[in-house]
Amino acid sequence: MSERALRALLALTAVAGVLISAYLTWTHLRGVVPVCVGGGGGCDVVQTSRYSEILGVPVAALGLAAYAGLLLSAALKGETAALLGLFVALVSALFSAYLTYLELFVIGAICQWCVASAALVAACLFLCVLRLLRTGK
Amino acid sequence: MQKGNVRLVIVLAAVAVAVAGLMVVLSQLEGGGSQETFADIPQDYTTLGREDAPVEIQLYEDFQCPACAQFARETLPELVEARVEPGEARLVSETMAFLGPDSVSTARAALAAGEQDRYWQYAYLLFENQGAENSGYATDEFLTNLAEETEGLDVEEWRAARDDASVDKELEAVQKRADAAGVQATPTIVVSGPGGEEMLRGAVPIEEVERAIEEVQRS
Repeated sequence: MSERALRALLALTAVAGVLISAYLTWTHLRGVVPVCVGGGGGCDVVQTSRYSEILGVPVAALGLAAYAGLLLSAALKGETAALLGLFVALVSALFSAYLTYLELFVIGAICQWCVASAALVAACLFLCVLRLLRTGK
Repeated sequence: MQKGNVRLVIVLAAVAVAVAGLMVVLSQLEGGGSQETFADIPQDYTTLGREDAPVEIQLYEDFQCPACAQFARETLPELVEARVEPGEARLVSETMAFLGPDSVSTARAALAAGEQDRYWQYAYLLFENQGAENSGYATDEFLTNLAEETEGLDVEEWRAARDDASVDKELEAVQKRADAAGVQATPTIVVSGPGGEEMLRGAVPIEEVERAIEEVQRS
């Protein structure tokens, strides 16, 4: 796959992430319960748990910033942009893994939006690695 | 990939791990408020604040409700500091127990703490340690641990008060007040004063509560 195609895929994935995290940020700031697709009702528990903020900043807003960074990386050409993307994706993937652990073993509830976001972050990391291998050749 | 670039990627990965680790550490820090938030403020059962405060804020809540926990963590500490502590408003917790069995046991435990005027400290701990809805997390051991953590609470007295019939009467009375006030969900915040009454729904930010207080202060 060409670098151009990888950037396009990364941009699409990041846009999906922006939409999810923007929605979760909005529900958190408005104090409303997110619509939990597929039922289960775990979204409200996760979104309002004590882990939903870091120093007063909603975790969803941090996710929004990360996806915006990935989108920026996809919009730019070259190795520096590829490195930026890899850095953001790696931080996001590691923190996302920790959040998934919290959902499963500490909070005891699963939020489908968060699972979707974790999958998107993993996809972004994969695309960023492939892109760097292409641009680094 | 060139050798220099490989080194750069390794450094970048190490920094990424450090940043993610820092975020994990920061996420472990406790949310807003502590038991200290309620110290030195008069308490009477589920009421916090001076009896002659011109504004009353009724807080309809269920200890299993995640949005109630969010309100308790993000809005309540600031509200207590800005309005309750100076004597401008008093808070009345209207403890509801409609979400399931864990709601009933947590409500009984908090009301029992209220018998010793430690309701707000105990409620703070309940929200900080809230489990998944109706997962059976509110076991006797869990509730007793929180009682032991509650500053100034006599645990033996609390244990006896938990089984008192007056707790059931209070829960019924709150349900009737909630029905009369048209409360459909928790948290619902009813702010009343000389200028009337305002009803807020959800884990509203402090700005919305402040606006409601100013509205009802106008006579």
